[in-house]
Amino acid sequence: MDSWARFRTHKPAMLGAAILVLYTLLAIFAPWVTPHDPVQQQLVQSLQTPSAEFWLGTDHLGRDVLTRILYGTRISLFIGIAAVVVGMGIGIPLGVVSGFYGRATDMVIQRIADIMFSFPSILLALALVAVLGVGLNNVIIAVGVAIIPIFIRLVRGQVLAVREEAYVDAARAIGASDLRILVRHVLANSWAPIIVQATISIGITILVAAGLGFLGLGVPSPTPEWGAMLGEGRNYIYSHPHMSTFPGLAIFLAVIAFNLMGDGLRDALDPRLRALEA
Amino acid sequence: MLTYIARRLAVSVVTLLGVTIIAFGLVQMLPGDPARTIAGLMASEDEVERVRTRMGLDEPLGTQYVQFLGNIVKGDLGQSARTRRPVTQEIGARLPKTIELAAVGTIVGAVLGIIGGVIAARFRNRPADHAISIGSLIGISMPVYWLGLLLIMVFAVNLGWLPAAGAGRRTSIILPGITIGLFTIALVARMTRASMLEVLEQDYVRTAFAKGVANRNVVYRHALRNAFIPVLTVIGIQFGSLLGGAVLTEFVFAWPGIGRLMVDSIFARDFPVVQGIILVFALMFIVVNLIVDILYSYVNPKIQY
Amino acid sequence: MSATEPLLEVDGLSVEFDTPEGVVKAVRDVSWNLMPGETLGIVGESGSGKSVSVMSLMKLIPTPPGRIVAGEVRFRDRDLLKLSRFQLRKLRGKDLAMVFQDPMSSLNPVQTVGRQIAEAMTVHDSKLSDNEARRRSIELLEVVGVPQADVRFKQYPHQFSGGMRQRAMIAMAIANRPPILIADEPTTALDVTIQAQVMEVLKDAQKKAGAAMVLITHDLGLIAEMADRVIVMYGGRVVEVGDVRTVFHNPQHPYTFGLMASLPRLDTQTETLPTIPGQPPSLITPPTGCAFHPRCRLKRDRLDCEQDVPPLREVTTEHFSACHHTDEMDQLIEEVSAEVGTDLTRGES
Repeated sequence: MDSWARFRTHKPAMLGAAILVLYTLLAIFAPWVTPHDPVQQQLVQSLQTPSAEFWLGTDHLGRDVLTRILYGTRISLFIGIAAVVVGMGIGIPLGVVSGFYGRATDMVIQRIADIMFSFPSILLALALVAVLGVGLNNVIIAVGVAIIPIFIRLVRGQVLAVREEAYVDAARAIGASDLRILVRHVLANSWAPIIVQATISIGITILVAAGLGFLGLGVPSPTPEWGAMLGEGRNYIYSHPHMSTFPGLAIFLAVIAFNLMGDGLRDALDPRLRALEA
Repeated sequence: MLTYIARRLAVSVVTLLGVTIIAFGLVQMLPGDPARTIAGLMASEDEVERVRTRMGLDEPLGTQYVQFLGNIVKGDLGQSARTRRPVTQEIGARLPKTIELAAVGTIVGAVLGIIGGVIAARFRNRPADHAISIGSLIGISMPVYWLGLLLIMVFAVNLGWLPAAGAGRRTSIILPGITIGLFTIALVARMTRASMLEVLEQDYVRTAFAKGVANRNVVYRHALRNAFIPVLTVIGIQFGSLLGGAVLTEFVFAWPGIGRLMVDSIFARDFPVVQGIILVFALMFIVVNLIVDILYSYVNPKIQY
Repeated sequence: MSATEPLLEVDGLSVEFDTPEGVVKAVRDVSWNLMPGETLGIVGESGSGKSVSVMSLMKLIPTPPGRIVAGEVRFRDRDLLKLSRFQLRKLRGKDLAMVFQDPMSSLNPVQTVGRQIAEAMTVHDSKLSDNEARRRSIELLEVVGVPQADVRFKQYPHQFSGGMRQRAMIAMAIANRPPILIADEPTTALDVTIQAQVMEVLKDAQKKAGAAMVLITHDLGLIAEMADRVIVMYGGRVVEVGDVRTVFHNPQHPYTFGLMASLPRLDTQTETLPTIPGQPPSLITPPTGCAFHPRCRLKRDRLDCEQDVPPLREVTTEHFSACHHTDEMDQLIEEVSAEVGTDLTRGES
């Protein structure tokens, strides 16, 4: 049975995939799904509890919470994915170089990874946002930078393992260049754990980015972003808990979906198939 | 073993140096006049000038960094732009509260997490395992800030059993403790389960069974200590996430620790304090990992030589 | 041999494994006896079911995915497969002790070697004092030829070489003087140079414990050297059983003959070694009839090989073969001998 078949029959992973497909569809078709505007303030209808017209109620500025969550899907998922792309884009090359060349290069890169690891990712992101200022791009950069060391470590370990394999020696023996060996052999054999880690990391970046938003250091209002909505709702937690309940649920479901997918991918791609020996 | 610890210590010092460079660089990266930044937005021109000369901000960057480092060694982290008090004093006043929260989170999380993980692995694919696995998946996917709010809604607002914010009462630690503890339990339980399952498939476990060792003793005497080795390392690495969780938890519950101070200081653009807190958090992480490394050498006999 | 009662009787054992690819029929209807004091060799290529069949005796296969679907294992008037977990545990290591293939991974890395040997005794004798267990463990290490046993007792597995670890495993196995020793490829993972030494230690330990031994291996040379009787397995079934000399000199199954013919010999000069064509059988969809028929020269387009599972029949005294056409074995041997230009008959027949 191949990886894809294993993944397809992995029930938790399929549940995660279903949630993500749903989110994607809602994000794309948000304007058709809801009649309300995510940004326009309607103070006369502020702080309404869930009703037939406003399924999840309205916020302190009279905006429909459901509508903002739907439009927020676009922002929050985009930040999560883009941040992982940033983290991978910097972390993977560093990890490859670190593992492949070893010695001094490895030492330096490993120390850098150590240093970055010494900061809790939310703290590193916070500090970066504090310096760069709030805004969509800065949040993506800040959160992406925070997960760089994860990919350095992972890829370095993969490279170290693959480097010892006979086919790399063989490639070197026939005179293949370093770059060719790196791309054709080392990376080609490391993609499975990278995909697994990337999937799980999206869960992390969504959590961290929403955390920034919650603290008021994310994407500035009135952009609908889940974390920021939760942060605004916090002020009304005694009187209008719906304002913070539903955006939190949206974050939670997105993160759990990526974690389910990640677990499923790991099970499906795990090369250590339980071999039977007789 | 001593050389092992010495080596780990050396690495920690190097890491710590790197951390000071980042903390130093962060303030350099800020747009505008660093003297103005450090003195604070409300400071007068005179004050800004005084800060500039006192901190040598007109000197080259290298000299400034050396001076910055020298001050840290002397225990001088500068002055809060907001309160004008020494940063060490500001942090010192709140650090115990953060340590209290982190300690509760780590200890509760590690103990319950390991128990949960072992039970899940022992009863693999049975109801207990499913319950623990689903529970821990929820635990690691739950935003701590949302969990905190939900707990406040239920236990403080609706039931009125526990205080919603602050640290004034003896029961104040319960809700933030649960918030940060649940995440750690979930994390540790997942790691322990995975590690146990791997160990239970090892040849030496089969050897133990072949000797006639009882099931539970195989699990506790043979498997657990082996499974604990990777879990310990990951607990160390994940201590960072725990501190991160502490920042958010402190914010949700208005817990007077340095996490909350950090957020407040970012809003107030009080960068000397931000800088100091970054250093303290990194230091805590490094110290905990050093302890983990030393424990590691006790658990893993291969390290002793 | 026929006069004494068998110590262990395996009867109709079948074991399956559930895999994502399908059900692997690892062991199919396997029966054999073990006589007191004898050494019984089980030989076959990997996938023949030799290890699984023996691991199943003590239920040491992982379940799931493994499943013992049929069979009986009689030992001292009891069926081992029907014992409770508790009863089985009392037997493991005391009446049936194992030496595993890979001594590198078979010892617990976080416990001292001494403690692991002592445990083999203390689990079966709760009254045994720590001091006494320690004294006996050191004695056992000496018996298996570990020098400076009192120092080695306190060391961890990673401080032992492969050969020394396997000696420690043997010490552990004979700790309770078990009547039955099971050695699963005990030297395969070791350096060629120390294989002989370790085998010597094992043989010696067996003698001292007065145990019968089941020796699982793919090494025919080892069987010739160590075993009294041999079982040949193919595709999860027993295809030939008999006295080692008889089977080696007069193989009565085309697979056994193929195995032995493919061994290089010192006594004759051979240009080419005959090989067995084809691949080992799939255990998920094994060939119908005789599992060996797709690779067998004796089949000669006959339908019985394809359709009927050949039963184990006694060819000569105490020598059994599961082949429909044992009467053509001599002819086969001559044919192959002519092809490779070497006389492959080994006299005595």
